[in-house]
Amino acid sequence: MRRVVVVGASAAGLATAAALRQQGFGGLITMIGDEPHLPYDRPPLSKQVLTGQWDAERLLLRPESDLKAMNLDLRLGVSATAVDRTARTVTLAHGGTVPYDALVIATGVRPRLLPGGHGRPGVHVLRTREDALALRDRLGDGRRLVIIGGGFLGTEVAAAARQRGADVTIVESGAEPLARIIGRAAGRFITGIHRDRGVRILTGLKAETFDTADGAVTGVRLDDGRTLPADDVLVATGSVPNTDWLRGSGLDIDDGLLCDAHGRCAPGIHAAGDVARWFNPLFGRAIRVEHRTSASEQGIAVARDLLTPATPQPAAPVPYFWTDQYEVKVQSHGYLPGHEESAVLDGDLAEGRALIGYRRGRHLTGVLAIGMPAKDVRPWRAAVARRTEWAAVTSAPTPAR
Amino acid sequence: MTPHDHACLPPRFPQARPSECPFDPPQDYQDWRRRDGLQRATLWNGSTAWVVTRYEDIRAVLSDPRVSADARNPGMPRLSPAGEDRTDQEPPFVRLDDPEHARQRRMLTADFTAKQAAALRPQVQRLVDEALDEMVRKGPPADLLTDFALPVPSRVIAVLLGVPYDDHPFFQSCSNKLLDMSLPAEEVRATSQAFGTYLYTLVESKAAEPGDDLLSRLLAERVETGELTRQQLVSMALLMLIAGHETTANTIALGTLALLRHPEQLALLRDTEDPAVIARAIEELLRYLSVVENVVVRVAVDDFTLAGEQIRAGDGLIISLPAGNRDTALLPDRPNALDITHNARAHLAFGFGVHQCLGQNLARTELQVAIPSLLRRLPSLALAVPFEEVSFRQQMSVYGVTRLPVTW
Repeated sequence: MRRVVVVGASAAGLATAAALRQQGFGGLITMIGDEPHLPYDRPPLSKQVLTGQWDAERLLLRPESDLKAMNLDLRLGVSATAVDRTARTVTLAHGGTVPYDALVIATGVRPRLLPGGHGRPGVHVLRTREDALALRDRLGDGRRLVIIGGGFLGTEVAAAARQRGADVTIVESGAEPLARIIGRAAGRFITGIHRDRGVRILTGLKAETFDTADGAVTGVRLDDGRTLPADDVLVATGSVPNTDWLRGSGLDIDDGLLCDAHGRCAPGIHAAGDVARWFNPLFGRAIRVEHRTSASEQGIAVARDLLTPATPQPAAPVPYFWTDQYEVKVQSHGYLPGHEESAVLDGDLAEGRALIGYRRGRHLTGVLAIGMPAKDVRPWRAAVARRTEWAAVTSAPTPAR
Repeated sequence: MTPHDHACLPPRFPQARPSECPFDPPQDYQDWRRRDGLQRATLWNGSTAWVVTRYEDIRAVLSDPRVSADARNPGMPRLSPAGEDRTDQEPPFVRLDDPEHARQRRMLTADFTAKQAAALRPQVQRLVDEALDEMVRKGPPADLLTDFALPVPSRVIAVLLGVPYDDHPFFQSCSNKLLDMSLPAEEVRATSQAFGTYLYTLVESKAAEPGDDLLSRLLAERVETGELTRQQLVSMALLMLIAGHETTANTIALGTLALLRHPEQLALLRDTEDPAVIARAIEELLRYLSVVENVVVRVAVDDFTLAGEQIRAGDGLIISLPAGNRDTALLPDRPNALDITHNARAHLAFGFGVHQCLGQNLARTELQVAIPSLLRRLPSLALAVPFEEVSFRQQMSVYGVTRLPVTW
């Protein structure tokens, strides 16, 4: 293996490249990124960047000189448009091709858009640095922000926007924000935090069209006929894996690139990060996890698999994410979507400190901790990793340490 | 030709410790301390800076708000070619001023309290015993530096931070190069970058597989909350990893050598069980050896007077901890002698002021366990070469021996 091509220059791509170099790979590493920036971190975009606490320079994952020292063939502001698996080349938007011995696909996701309205002044999505800076510059005292979608992104932005004094409304099509993932009880709790801080939350409603004047957005029309006046609208209704460029490649694509437990999706091709759907033996199925920590973990695992393919390391990672909702820290270990039951295993939601367990089949498949210190949550991660029986955690709530 | 032949050019800094008495600070520094006023010295690049050698002056400078530790200040003395500014990233917090310095340091203080260090003592004892077992198993002669003095603090800091100890050849070699003032800037920069990539990858892996260690906790509790950037965490990790083992390792090796030269004091320390006697002896070794010799630099950010000299904003200040620790103001009675019954507790070996060594409690525990355990385990410990053949680290930020052949 002389040349590794990494498509995607964000957390997963950089983790792959850094781990390859760290483990002694001296061959050529080409890293292709469609954004014009050096690799940067995304979680702060909806947090410290929106509140104005951080400028964009603080997002850099590695200082420029250290990246140079990694001796990467870094192609930024260039997108990959196709892969030719027979010739083993990646085609670039400006027409050139890059040959590879090993290809790592880490192209991430993009926001799901609503038909009509995008591109108009005042209509936002939040994925890139530019998106965050544009939205940041529009927030302020009394500015009216309507957020379509009460998921993690929508609620985080609501919290940041309230800190900036904006007037915030969340429109959520489900029964409670976040309920689809974390369950209704926890969703209700998060809703309560937001309502206490003056966020208006409308549930069971969909946004139908944007009202505009002189081309700029002035409001959102809902499916009950109401119109919400707005200076800005954030569309936060989920994301779509960036796999369009792989159409016709013959790669197995189904809500992301399907990979085995080592991130292999085809001979000579791995995928990592938000775009990848890895088989996870812990849950017995392929899951796509848009978590920052999975991006690093998968990138590092891919590098290892590339360098020592003969000794694949069994991986059954426990996904982890966190979200800050005002001063309340929410952390989760495991995989929550599609859970069949949830229950408070420790603490009490009414007191703002609780550990909620999630069941799928007979096992504890995930936990969500609200307002608990990380060290108290860590034993639960182990409980998920051990595939602890649900009956055991519901009868004796504190896991053995 | 003596340095003073250049009538117009101030003497150079740094200078070597005298070969006839390699535990003492350079003779010039001792002279400067005894003279009135403040000495100016010439650095490798021809620039000049004040050298502060007196105990009270050092304490005054290190606690003066008109003095900055910010490495980005253009007036900051650069002691070697590699002391070059990294303009594309923020320096580690030890090279920043308050409030940012204090903000980052506070994130670590709970892990380095005296109480924490005391709680680690049994673990340190175990690591010391294991290193001794291994050295004894291999049999004499041994290199006390690589067989004992380095592994003990390296293991301790690796466990604390959550750095795999198996990587010690890599991180020890990186640390050594980063402290080597004779290397060209390019080599030091490349080393710091490789070290940075290593630590970046390590920190990234902690996100997914958190352990019960300091880096995992900082990542979960500080980076994810936005209090620290990833780069700040990487710089912090690099700083703690280097500072956490180089200084202690060199004090263990050099301290053992000094005790071997003072057999009656060695016996006193070996034969006592009294923790107060041991603690006092370790403070005296810290003072007497002062291994952190070419590290502490400052820059004036305002005009002020020091030792009768007018210091101007932008003037560089070099702090000689070894010289200050031999001042009669600290120790009126025989400051140039090693005497483990000295009360040296107010020494400057850990610096002074807000930047004083964060890991001093841990260092004390390691030294208090390592040196007496070594002496008790190997009562017949002796140099395996004539003293004159022991080679000392030259042109390094942290002083010590390059190796220490011993037998027993």
